[in-house]
Amino acid sequence: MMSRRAERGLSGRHLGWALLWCCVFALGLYGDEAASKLSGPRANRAQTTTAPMGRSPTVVGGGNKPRARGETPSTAGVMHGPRRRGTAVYPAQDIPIRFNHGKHLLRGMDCAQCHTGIDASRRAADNNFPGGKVCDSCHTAQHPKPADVDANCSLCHTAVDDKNRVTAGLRAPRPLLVFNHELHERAGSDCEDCHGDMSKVRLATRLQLPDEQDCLTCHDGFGATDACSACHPTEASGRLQLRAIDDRSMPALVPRDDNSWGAAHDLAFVEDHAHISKANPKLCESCHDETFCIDCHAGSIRPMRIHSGDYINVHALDARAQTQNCQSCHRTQSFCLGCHERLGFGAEEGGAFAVGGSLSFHPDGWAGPPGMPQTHAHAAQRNMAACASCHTEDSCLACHATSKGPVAGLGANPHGARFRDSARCNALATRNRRVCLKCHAPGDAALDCL
Amino acid sequence: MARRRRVRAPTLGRVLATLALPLWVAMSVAGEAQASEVRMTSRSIGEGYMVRLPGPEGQLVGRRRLAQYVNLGVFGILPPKESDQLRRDPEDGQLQVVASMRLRHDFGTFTRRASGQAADLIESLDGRQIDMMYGYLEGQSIARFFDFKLGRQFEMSGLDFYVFDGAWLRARTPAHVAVEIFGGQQVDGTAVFGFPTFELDGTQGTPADDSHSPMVGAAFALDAVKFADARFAYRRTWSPASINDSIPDVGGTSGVGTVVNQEFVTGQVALRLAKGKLSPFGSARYNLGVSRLDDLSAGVWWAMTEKHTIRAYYLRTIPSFDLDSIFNVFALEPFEDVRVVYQVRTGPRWTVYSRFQGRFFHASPTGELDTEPTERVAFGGGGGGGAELRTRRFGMRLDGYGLGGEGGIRTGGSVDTRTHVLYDRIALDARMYGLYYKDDFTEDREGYSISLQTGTNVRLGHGVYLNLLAEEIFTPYYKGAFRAFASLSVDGAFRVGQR
Repeated sequence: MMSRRAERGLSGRHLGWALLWCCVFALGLYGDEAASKLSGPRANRAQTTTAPMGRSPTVVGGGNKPRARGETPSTAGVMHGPRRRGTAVYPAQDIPIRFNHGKHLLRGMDCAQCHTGIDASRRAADNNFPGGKVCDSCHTAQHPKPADVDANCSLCHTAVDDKNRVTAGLRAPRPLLVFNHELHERAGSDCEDCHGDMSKVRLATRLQLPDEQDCLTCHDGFGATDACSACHPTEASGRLQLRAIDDRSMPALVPRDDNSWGAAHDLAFVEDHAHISKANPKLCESCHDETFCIDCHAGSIRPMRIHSGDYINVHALDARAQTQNCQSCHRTQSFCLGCHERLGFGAEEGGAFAVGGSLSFHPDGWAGPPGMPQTHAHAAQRNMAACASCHTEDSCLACHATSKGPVAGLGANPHGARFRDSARCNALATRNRRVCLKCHAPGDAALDCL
Repeated sequence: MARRRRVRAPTLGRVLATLALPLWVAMSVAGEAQASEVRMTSRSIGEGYMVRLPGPEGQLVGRRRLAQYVNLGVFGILPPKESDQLRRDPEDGQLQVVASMRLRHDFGTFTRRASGQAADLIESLDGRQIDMMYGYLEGQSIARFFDFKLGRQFEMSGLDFYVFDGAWLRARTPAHVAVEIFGGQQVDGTAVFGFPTFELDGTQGTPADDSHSPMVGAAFALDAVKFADARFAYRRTWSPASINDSIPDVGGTSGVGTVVNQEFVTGQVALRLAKGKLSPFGSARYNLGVSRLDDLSAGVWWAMTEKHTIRAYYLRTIPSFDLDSIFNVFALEPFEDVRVVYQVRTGPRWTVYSRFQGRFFHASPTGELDTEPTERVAFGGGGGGGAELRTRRFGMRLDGYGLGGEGGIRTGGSVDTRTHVLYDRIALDARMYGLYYKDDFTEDREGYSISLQTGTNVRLGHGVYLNLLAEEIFTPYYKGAFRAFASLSVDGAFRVGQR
């Protein structure tokens, strides 16, 4: 018997737990609308705004359907927003224009005088650069140029050839961002709230565009929503779009074209991510910082689906099969060994975990003097990490050290066939002779491989 | 020989000095900082439960753990290059400082002290309560071609999963190739502030534990190539006699000899083909210390249509250890994996997937003992599948799996849900996990468990989150197993200087 079996039958506590769980589950499964009502108008106000007469409400983020924000909990820890500054969402621009905002503002001009469509702009992709005609309203008419007026392209354009022709136009790829100027203006935001003091600015570039910290000043979850999808484009499922922009800092593997099919994590990604990250760590770093990795790999956050339920009784099976690489989060010679040692597994003669016990990790014929079955040798050959979770080197040296070694053993040679003078023997002995001397005494003929 | 504690207790002065150095360097370089963003995060994570040990004794041991993180980041240290810029152009170079420290303690109980070779070391690890997870000054695009990190760095790549105190430098060339060099001291048990995942190296319990281990490496990597990422790297960690001459060797002589602890060469490639629909990737590591390819993986990610994706890969691994450890001598055979994942987005809310995993273990006759394995190749593996639903305020995930072969049978399923209520400030979690297992070695190791969890994630204020989780486990072996988990997270940021 594995342990004392509990009395069968459901207790009141069991029923209470089941009832509580079912309530929470049912609320989510059937009560999405109810949950929306519980969330109340305030949350909606954070995301939508009162519609002017005759117009439908505007949803921040574009589109007129509510966005999915539901998320499944993957760990017990809290994941809420980047702990570093996010990667820039503004693509590189090319603005071959000569312009000075400061001079124009000094003349008392208003922003909307040039950025004429800004009051009605609802999308970040809108082109809110003033067109040439706007400039013509104060400067000499050039767009189009009347026949009796001399061309003066180089007054504003920097890319002008010898024949006074403009050779390069403005290039401003749409940003990977959701933004509604109209809504922000109606909410009372001023231009400088996001773009800073333009009175000192010459040509405005993407460096005049707000970064995440600027946005979060107002989008704090109280005055305005702080949902990621409020600013970052999402798919219908609520998953953030990963289509990258023309940014040198982004890894090349993230698609830069119209689709992002290959970039999103699939549902089994957590089980397989190790070798994907080895092949291209830059891809991971584009969204995750060290903290994200260390949360699990340094042992404080436990992904619930990886170690679900009564895992303590199952982990021995997983360790032997290496189903998950235990060493990626746990050190065998400290975490595993420390617990096993101090809980007495295998140490007590006659105990359940000792050799011959009902729960012994090793079956009969596992190990013994030369001539006996040596099942352990093959287990060690293929999964030494499992051995190291309970045994220190002492266990191995007791038999495998030579009789004249520092720890006198039985001289059972663990090396595979043709080890002596092999490349492997030389590689190890050349780099770390200390490890040879754990089994072999100085002067041992076996050490003459070098 | 009397054993010594491997880990020195950190002093407050050392803590402050370690934290202050990168900040001082950053501020010195930055001069008059403008509009730097300072971000601080603290998290306190606690869990508590009792475990009844398997076996007829059925002893109860307590598990109560507390971990506290403090993260600090100072971003945008350099001011804009032009006076009319709201912020500095990334191409003009930028500096930032990031650091993370962890204080942890395990209040749990055990039934006995450790014994043998492990005792002193394990108990000394218990005393390590402050971890410096990372802390470095980072420069990006300095002079438009040069990047660097200075301080404690955490590296996860084909080379390994390791931490070192030192410098990492990268120069990007116009030929789309970046050259990296890095070096410092590998963080192991000798570090003032530890990193919790260093693996013991086989010298434990001897004075050689105190050996300092410098590390150097270099790499070439593709840079700014749209369709490919590739990196080829070399790393060597060794314990030179010259800096360890005061440490007595095993034989009692003064000064341990120079030994190499790790030496690797790696290559990794990832491609983006067919506009991102086809992404082959692969990595390989050659362990020079044991003269073999100890880690190899290759795979492909193919988006067949907008809804259908498939990921398949192969990996081959031989467990390897620090070269100070004799365990390398015993690890002779690789295990090989084949994994396939197929996923379909059946609609805007639903995604379903299935997964297969097969692992092949190899065994060979032992050398001197000439013992034949019962089977040359053993199989372990199985498959699973699941679905995910995401609606406006509700997310649910269903999973099921079954594994057999090597290790035994493990089969189970789970339901994870999260529902947002009250202005999205409260998330309610409900989870259920079911599991059946049967050991292929030990007949008595067979059972099942059903665990029910309910929890909540509450937003208490600006960047302040409280997470609570309670679990009850039902098994044939426990009357009940209650477990509680709580975490409090505080995340705040402010600006320093004028814009």
